[in-house]
Amino acid sequence: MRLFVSILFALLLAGCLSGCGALTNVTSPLIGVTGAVTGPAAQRTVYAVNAAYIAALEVAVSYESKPRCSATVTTACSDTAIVTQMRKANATAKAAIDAAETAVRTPSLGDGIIAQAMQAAQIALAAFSALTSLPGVKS
Amino acid sequence: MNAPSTPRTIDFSELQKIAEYAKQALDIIEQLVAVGGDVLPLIEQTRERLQAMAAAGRGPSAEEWAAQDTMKEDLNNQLNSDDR
Repeated sequence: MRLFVSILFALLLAGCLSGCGALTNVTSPLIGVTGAVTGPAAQRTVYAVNAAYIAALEVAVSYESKPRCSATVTTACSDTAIVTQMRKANATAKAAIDAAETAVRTPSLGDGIIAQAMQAAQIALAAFSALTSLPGVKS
Repeated sequence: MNAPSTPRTIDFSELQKIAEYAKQALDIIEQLVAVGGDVLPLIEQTRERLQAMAAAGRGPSAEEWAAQDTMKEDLNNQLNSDDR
């Protein structure tokens, strides 16, 4: 199973290396900067970020749906404090990711704003996903 | 004398940061894959769509964005619902 998962992820990564664009374009300063952060390549990168966010959300929803932990429920349960943290982090992540999607779909905003939105989205996603990777959340 | 090149709003170091964040996002997917099978169809579907988009030299279509947006909204509603 682990081998299958590893192969699957490698395929996804390979697909994104050719599909996301920004990952490969920025490795060389000789390649046009504008093309790397705007247009289809940037849109594909944000699409991949969206997918990662949705996957993290799936984990968060699965955790949240468990009964809340209590004195009598101590296993297979969700911690109220963690659920609260996840909801807050999710609100931040969703706002940032939605803004990034809007930015890459609105090229007239300019490279600077698009790049800032993409950075903010990925930082917020990393913070949110860190919560969904906590022990007990991913199970 | 040549005219100075057009100023760019983003320098290479900023783009490197973006690439690093994109890589982080993919690393997160790897972590999520380790969680279980629920996200595997989504990852496989995303991989296939990204490849198709790249082959066609295009970004996501309005329908592809809409599908993701619907999933995000549904999951957000579930996460923030206290109807349990």
